[in-house]
Amino acid sequence: MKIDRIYDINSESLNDEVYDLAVFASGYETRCIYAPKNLNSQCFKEIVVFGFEDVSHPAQRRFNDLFYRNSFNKIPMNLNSNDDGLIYKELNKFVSSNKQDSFHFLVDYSSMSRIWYSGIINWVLHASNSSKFILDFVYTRGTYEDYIPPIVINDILSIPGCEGGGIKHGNSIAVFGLGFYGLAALCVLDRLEADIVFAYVAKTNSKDDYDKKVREINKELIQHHATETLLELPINSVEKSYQNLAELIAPYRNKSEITFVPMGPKPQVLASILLAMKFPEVTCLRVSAKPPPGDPLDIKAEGSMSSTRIELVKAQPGVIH
Amino acid sequence: MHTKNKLTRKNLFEIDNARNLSRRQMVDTFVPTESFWRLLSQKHHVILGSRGSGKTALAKMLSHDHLCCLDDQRAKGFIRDQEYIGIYLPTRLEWVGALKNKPWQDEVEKESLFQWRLNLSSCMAFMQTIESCNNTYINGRALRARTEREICVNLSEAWFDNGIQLETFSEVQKKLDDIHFKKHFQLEKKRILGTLSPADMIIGVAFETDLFLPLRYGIKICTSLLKIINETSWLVCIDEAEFLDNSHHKILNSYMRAYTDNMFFKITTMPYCHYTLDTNTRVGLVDGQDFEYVYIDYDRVLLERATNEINTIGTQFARKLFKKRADASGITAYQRPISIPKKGKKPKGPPVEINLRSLLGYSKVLDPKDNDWSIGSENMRLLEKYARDSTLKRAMSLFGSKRFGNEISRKIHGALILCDLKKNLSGNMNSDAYGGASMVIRCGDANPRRLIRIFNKMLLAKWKDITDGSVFHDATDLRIPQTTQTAALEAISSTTLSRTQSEPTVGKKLHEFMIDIGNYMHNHLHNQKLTTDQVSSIEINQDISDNDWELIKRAVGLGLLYPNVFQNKRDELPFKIGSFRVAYVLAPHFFLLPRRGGKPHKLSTIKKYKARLDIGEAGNEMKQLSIFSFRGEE
Repeated sequence: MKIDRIYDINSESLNDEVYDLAVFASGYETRCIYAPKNLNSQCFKEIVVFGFEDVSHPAQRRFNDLFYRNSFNKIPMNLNSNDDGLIYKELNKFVSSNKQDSFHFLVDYSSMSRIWYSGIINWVLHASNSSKFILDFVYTRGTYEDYIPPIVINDILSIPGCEGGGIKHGNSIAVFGLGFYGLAALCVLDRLEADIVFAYVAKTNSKDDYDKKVREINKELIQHHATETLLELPINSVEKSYQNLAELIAPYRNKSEITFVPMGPKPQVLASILLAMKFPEVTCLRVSAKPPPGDPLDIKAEGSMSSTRIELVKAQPGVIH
Repeated sequence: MHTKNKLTRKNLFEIDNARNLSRRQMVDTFVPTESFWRLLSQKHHVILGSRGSGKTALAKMLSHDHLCCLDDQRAKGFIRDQEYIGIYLPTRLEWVGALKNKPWQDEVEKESLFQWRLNLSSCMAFMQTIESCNNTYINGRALRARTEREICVNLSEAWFDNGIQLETFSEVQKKLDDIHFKKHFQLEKKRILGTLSPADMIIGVAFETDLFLPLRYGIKICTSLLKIINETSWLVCIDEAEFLDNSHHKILNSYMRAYTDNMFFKITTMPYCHYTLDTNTRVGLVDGQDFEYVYIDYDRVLLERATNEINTIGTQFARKLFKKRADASGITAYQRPISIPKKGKKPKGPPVEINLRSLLGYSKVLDPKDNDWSIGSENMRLLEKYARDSTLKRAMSLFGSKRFGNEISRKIHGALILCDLKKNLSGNMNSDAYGGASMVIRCGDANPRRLIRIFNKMLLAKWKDITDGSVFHDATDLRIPQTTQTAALEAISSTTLSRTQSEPTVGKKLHEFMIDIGNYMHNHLHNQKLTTDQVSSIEINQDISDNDWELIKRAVGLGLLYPNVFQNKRDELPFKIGSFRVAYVLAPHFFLLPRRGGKPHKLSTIKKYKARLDIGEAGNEMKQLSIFSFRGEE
């Protein structure tokens, strides 16, 4: 399969659709269950819920699990946040028992790990034999604490399917998606030694000071390392983020090493992953962190959802993407 | 969306790492060091250097396409006589990130994927080198084109399936790139589906062979077609090997041990990041026999350690680096002509020489103007105020003799001035303690990336004036205020420290560790009476815990600590026993004197001091330090 179209859709229209499968996640965040609570379960022919193996915030996790059991009669299948094996297994199982020419899935990626939701796209790209596949990605915006302590990096790895090309002798370009972990971004920057550094922040419509805070946390990178102007990407629009980032890297493709390091909100992470999947020469890295001591941050739903449709069609034989 | 369309930047001080410079910029701004010439030899080398110390510059400059541009008689001779042909092969973070993101693979699969990728990548790197050789050794465009075609057809036969015949270097490069991508696609598909169709399995088979065999075959073809002499040494420069892991190093070690013909490895990594000496055979690699370490952090500070003189190799290196970058950036300021018309465009006089001294001036602390030590002088007043009684007594006994200069004033002068500057700093006053060319150079630790960042920060204050054609009365008009310089250095110092918090696996502990050491040294300098021994180094012994040893190794890798190595064992890094100097870049954050001197203090003493602080035994002292330790932190 290959990615054909990416566009934003109205979240209210989701309840007018019929989904062959809805994929949800259960973890320690309160916002895990915001989308499934607010969507009409009658729209889903089948539901699968993945749960984070490493249970923290047990009370909230229990509450989320209880919601899935009471509302959908589903018990989350646990797997590690860095593992996509079970996702592939479940999706293979689902498709082998549902022989049809096209599929329509809903994926609530608000609380999923990057490996999980990139795994779902990878699975469609590599395993599906359908003539058409539609993935509706739903994201619930979260609220954040005033102070977020720095993370300690555990590893810096390529997202599967986003490994990029081989050695290039041109410029190296890094595109940093800025979030709440400014020091971690600097650590990655030190290791990447990129020639040209772009950075972007997600822009919100609401009156909170999200982007101001992100700019403050990443002051050092913005002022002294980002050699180009800081981009603002709309937090709720994967479509616009994808377009802007595609335009940004267009002059450098085929002659430079391009690396995305998305550390901000998930819609922009998704846009970066989709670009790296679309263009083989682009790498998308993920920065995994050591779990901080104590309870992790419980991210609550801010009260709005944004949705993006990814249409995939059959690729010509022998042609990649 | 709006971005600046700045494809070329004139200010080369904005680019602080070698990988980012164009070939021309890189060659023009490269400062060859003793280590560089040492690497041009028929030996395997593992080059150790802290982050930003110039490892990549060394590795890149060894490659044929860079070395052939270097304006140096020795380098020209090596190229002309085909003595060395270097291939630059980076194993970058992204490159390694794509190896490590497959946790489901077993050890055998992991190793074979590493070998496959290294084979393919070395061939990709080789293409760049061979193009440079074709341009250098084959005369005439027509003959060059014919040779290129012949090489590519032969390489296609060796490396690609289905009888494909490519005719240009760029076509071969693109084909290698396609194979690279398809291999990852294949692996992902296999992961998802569990099996692959026979057609999907045939990708890059030629690279599924012994390590570097495809490269060696490529070298053989090109040696013959480019008429390269058989005695040529091929240098494979593997850059950023710190991102590889133990098993990868073991594979490279095995190769270094087994092959000693005309291919030599120059592997760059961070100190303590040549993870093993093991090979895949029973016999491990022997340092000095199978290969040599080259520790480049030692290279430029050598003389300074021996003499404590200002005009050291490190200083000369920093000045050369500044001059080369400034020249390559085209930075020119002009003198004001004798008569200037009242109206119209201001004419320019002759150029003003821009150097570090004209921009930054002298350091109050490191180049004190006042050397008057007579009774009643300012210096003696400071000595009486800040020195310990025993030191004062010794000073008085040596007063008037030559030994007074060597044993007292030279050793304590900077510390006295710094203590006084700190004491007189109150409220929102801006300090000027860390201004001056020698101070700025010192705080750069002879680390090129650090120096360039500092120079850039300093230059930004005058950049507009210099580039908009402003005219100056003389070079002193260019001077950046010392308070501005101090603020810039303090900011760099603080961010250097604070960014360690997120360092992989050890971040928080490493940050606390460095703060404990810095606070201890601060306390020793500012809260106790001075002696001629100022503490700038820590000492460890075999009793050190594994955790602390890990922190020290990481701090050395990041250039926050430097091992005090012996001159006769300059490439030998201490293992658990030894002393380590705190990087001068941290001096402004902790208000320390960036100068090596005095006996190292034991790490165990520092830890005891910290324990005392934690239980509150240090009383007011602790209060002062806790305020201080957050100064300038973001």
